[in-house]
Amino acid sequence: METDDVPSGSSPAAMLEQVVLVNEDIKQVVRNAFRINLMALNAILMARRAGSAAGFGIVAREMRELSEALVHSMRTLRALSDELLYAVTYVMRHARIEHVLARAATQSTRAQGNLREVLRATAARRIDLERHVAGQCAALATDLRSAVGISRVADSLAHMAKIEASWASDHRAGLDTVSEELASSLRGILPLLQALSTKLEAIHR
Amino acid sequence: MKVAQTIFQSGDHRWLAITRDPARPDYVIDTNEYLVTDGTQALMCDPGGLEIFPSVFSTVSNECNPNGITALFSSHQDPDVISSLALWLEFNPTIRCYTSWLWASFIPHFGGTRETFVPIPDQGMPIVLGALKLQAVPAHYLHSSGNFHLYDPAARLLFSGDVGAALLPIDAGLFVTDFAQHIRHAEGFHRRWMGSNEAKRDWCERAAGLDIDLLCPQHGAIYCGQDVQRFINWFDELEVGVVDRKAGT
Ligand SMILES: [Fe+2]
Ligand SMILES: [Fe+2]
Repeated sequence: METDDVPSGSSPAAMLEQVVLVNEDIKQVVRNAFRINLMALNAILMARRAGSAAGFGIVAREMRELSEALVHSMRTLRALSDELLYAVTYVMRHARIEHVLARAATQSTRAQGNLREVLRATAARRIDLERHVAGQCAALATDLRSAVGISRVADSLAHMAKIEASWASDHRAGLDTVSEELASSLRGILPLLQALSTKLEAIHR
Repeated sequence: MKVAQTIFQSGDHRWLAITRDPARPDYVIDTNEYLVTDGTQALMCDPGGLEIFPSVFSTVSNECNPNGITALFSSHQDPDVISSLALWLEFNPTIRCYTSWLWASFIPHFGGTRETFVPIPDQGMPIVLGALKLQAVPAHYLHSSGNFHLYDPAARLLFSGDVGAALLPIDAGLFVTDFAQHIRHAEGFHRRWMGSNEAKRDWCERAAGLDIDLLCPQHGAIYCGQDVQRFINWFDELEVGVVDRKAGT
């Protein structure tokens, strides 16, 4: 994934279609991550209200730190996804010009001769642009991996929070609900992130 | 990238303005693109030039799923309006482009086939998008000889193409706030680009008969509320079709 391979085998339009799908999924994941962050804040407030649930409070604060990291990673993901869309659209525009020039070159041997250098330069430029796209895919994949890592740790924390909730003497039901909500949201986000990695690999390939 | 801003929203019905591209080279005129959506279906007004397509496409994708764009509305044939057509079609070959019948065989020089175009007759036509009923309103010779604006009666919004255009600095706001100050940036443009006083008078009467809260031009800033009528009155009195012999040399 992190090499400078040139993506091949699909037209820029087909690639744009895939990148648009990835971007739509990213928008969805980002919305979920922001919700998780709010839930983690809510867990801290609940712990404070429950006073005696010291263990829960510690876990909740760690959870909040992690979800802040997740939100940060999501912001990067959004920015990278924007850049990738821009880069792929740019390749598509370039490929259109290249295609028209190539058609002109097929009209006569004279035209072919006149355009040979131009076509060579245009193709070289396209390869550069495609390399740039590959680099952006790789950066996106790296950020996705870090988001998966954060979500996994957050998932285990949510389980710990559930155990701590069961020890609490006050507000046990409330603490239990908030940790269950966190756990189930994290269970929801993980497969989305993993599916995204797979889609991204398909584009890069 | 350009900036996207919601200028009207009522439930699933939304108008989005895509404006002010800081990365745009200064030899390319700045344009506003507008996207009207009803739920997942969308129509793009004057989608812009080939040069700015990457910027427009990625900005739109941030706000909605571009797969929902089923139609383009091309107010006229200019390159700043529709030269990106081939790229939109490359992304989605089933997109339809509404434009004056006059240009239906000229715009294919930018891309598209016979199936792409829905020619609008001179008197205009309704355009249906989901549950919305939009109206292509004639604005011929302002400035193009086959020219339409798009009216949305539910949003009380008129997309007015080059009418109302102003050449503003890049950091100008999206809405007109000081009409007298703003219109100075619009005067030269309207005098020179708009070709016919008769057509202009006609349009002013037609526009005055519409209920308009937002008048959205392809260049410059959006007129709201009282400024809409102020603009129509100003335009009605302006003498157009004038060549300033000192300019453009
Ligand atoms: Fe124009
Ligand atoms: Fe224009």
